[in-house]
Amino acid sequence: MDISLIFKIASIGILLGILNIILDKADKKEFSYIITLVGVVIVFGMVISLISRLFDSIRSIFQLY
Amino acid sequence: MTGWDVMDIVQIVGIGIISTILIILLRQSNKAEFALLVSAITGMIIFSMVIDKMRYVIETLSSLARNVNMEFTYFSTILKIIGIAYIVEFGAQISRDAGENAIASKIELGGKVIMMVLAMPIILALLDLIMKVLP
Amino acid sequence: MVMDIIVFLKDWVKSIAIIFVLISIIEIAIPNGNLKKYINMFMGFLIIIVIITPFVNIIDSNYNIEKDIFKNIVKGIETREVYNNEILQTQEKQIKNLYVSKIKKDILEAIGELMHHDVSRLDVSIYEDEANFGSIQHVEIVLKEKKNESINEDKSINVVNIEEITIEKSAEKAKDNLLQDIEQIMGILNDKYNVSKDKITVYLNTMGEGEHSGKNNK
Repeated sequence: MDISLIFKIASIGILLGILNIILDKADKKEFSYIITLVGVVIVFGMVISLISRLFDSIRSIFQLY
Repeated sequence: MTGWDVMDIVQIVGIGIISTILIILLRQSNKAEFALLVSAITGMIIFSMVIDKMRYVIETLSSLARNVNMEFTYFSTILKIIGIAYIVEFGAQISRDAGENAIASKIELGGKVIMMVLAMPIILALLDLIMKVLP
Repeated sequence: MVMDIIVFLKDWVKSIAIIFVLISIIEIAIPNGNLKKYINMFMGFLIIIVIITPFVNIIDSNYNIEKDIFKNIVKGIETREVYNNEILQTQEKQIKNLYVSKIKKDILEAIGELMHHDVSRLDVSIYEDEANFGSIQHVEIVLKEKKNESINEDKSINVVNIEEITIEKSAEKAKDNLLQDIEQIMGILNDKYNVSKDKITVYLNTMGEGEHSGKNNK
């Protein structure tokens, strides 16, 4: 839940970028798109607990219930 | 993270700069969606670092208001409106960063409507009040 | 008397001071954006309320702004709930009508061409309790004899004797036809829709004939 998360997401992104280039060279463009989608879904999974915790704390602080 | 506030601001600035650089990198490798995600996550992390201090400020203000006998309804409504403003601002800014100005405007519209709904009872009470003063 | 006025003024000034400090802090803390103007407007309202309230307390000493605000909040919630309920009810009714008319259409198609009668009316009612919502509760069919099968007016004017026999035979034949069709209907309804025989009522719409109920036949 701190800066390591940012690094993880960024590294996944860069990795996908490299995979993208490799797959383009190997002439399989569709693959890269699918893999990008998978990467985005994985990142969402990592992130979603953080988001929900954040919104919960906002709700409790501002008494928005 | 220590309880020392100055160190906290240095951390916040550090995280901001690092993530900005990472975002530039990601945009260059054609992965705009990851850039957006990194920006959103950074915002949320900084926000959650700050939110504990916000909690302290708000609770102090709230107890102050209670001491001075200011009515409870004012304070809680103001608080809710501020909270909504923060959340809406966050979401709308992320959409705007991605270039979706229309979506950002719609998010703001939602925020405005909900704030209006929250504020309506107080405005009606105000009108009643004015009616009472005028004969 | 003078003390009263002084206390009153003190309270008033205190409230105003606190509100102003609060608003200044909030002004700084609110994110700049399109929402800022809204919030500023709302703060203005609050200032007005705080300034005016003491005067109202002079005029009408039972006035409590909390009560007023609370009353308005409750009224707001009630209004919105009424909207929701109305919409829900209309939706439910529409869905139910659609469902029943679809069932009717299905039944009509399934019955198809009856041998000797036409279906002149069909009513279906469905269960609405939790257990078996949607299954058919009762089917009511009104049949009418097909024109070329019924007693033909022209033929019966010929010879008196033959007329009698014709009428009797026609009556018998009509009853047989009716029974046959009823069998067919009940068979179809039972198979396709799992409607047991005691839930079906078949009426015959002719001149002078009474009703035939599905119950009587089995």
